[in-house]
Amino acid sequence: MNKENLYAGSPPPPRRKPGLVPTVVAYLIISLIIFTTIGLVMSQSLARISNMATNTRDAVLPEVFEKQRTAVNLERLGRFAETVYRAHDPQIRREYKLAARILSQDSVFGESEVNRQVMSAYRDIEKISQLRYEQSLLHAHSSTILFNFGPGKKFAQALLEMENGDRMADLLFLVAKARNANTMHALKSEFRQLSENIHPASPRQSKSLAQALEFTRLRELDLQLKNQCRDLWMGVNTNLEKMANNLSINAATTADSRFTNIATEADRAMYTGFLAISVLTLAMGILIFFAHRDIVIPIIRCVGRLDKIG
Amino acid sequence: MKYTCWFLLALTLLFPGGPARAGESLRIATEGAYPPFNDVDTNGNAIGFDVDIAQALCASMDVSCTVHIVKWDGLLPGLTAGEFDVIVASMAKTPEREKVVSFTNYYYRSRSTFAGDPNRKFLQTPEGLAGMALAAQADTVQANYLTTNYGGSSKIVLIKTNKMAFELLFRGQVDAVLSDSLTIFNFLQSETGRQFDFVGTPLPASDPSSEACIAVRKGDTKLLKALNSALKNIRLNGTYEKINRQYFPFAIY
Repeated sequence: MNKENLYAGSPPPPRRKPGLVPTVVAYLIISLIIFTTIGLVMSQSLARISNMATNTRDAVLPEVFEKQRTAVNLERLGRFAETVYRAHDPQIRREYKLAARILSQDSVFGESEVNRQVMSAYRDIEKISQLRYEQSLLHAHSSTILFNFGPGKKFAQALLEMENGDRMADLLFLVAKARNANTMHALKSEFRQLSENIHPASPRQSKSLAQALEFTRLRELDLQLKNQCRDLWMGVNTNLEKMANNLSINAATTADSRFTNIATEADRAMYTGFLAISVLTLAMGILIFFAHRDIVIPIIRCVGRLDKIG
Repeated sequence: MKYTCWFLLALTLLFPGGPARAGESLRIATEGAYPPFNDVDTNGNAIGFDVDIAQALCASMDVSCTVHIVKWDGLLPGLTAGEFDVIVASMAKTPEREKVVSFTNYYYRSRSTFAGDPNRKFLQTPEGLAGMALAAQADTVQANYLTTNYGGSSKIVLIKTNKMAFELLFRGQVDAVLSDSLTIFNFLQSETGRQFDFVGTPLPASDPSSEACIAVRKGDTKLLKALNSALKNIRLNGTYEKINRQYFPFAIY
């Protein structure tokens, strides 16, 4: 008799449930898989945050510091340039020119475009220093001449003896005070015109006139040098300020983007954590349900039957 | 009470002396002939940037310090012989020196360059400087550089101290001095240095002479760590900047 015949006409036997141990093992494996997956996801996320934080500490922050230091040094270089441009004391000008030279060689500027511009700025600072030196020589010379045109001085008397002498003396003092090229040009032209119509009566007058003309020439040259210095300084200042601003912005942007990345990653980790807790709670609920159905209830039944037998 | 004692004993064994040798005394050596970094005042006391930094580091580590003036060539042998604990003397970290001592992180950066007569042609090649007398302090990275690069073409004058090298330049006995640009900056502002200027181009920033470090005995990792930590501390709390400003109009870190 085969099995089909044996059960013919009767309901099929109930499916045999797996034993207690395989059920427990199966649930343990499922729990392990869930925990491992969640653990892996969480640890990966945390590792990413840790890596980013370490990299920020070891690479990004030093880079930001260097950029800030470079920006500060560029601003200082600008101040040194201004001191060289404005200082009257040649000793101070020299000190700041030397400081500018050292600063321009600072290793933070590296071999980059910044370095090229810094070197160019230093060359301009050197030029300003040189022009200021020439200017101070001219100034000293012209001041000596002007002194001799002062009230009661030898050149002044000779000049006043000449035709239009009063006006020429006035012009000399106006030339000494002139601060812009147009005014200077106008005053010098007027003086030249007046002087061209004069025929000095004595060598003393000739010398006085020649000295007066020399004074206007020196003053014009002085003003030209002054304007050249101002243009150079403004160029240096504008470039350095622009570079310093760019570097500061760049440093702030670098720091900001890195911290934003870390914050994004931390948010992601937090959401993953919430999700993991939710999944874990759900999985625990399901596991408790199945464990109750497949492990606890059979054990209780078994215990109950054993109780009855006893 | 008994357990408390055991607990305290265990703590003492676990953390001996705290992080920075609190209560100990450090013997610091400096050269005293490298202004403005280290020099000697009229009373024979060590002064300068190095000395101020050393004292700031000691204060940060909460240790007392004594500063000793030691000749340059006696610094490394003295440290290894245990005559003092730390060298703060604008010393560059080189592979040769690292064989006998350990160095902290740098505490300032500055490039080496030449000082000389600005009106004289100074073409910085062995051919360009052929026949010229070039000076540097003996047993320094600058001395090595001169010997290696210009030894064959120029007359190299190696002298005991940097100050003496500048004196030779002033007296016209040498044509140029290779030194740290900050010491040259100091010299050029002095009465004797007025006629001179920086000449040529500075040595590359990657040259070992560009960074000055503090030396400790090899293997004294605890002190090394404490010094590095103190260095970081004085940088962050503004002490370094304050000292820096006393000597230079720009940041040298």
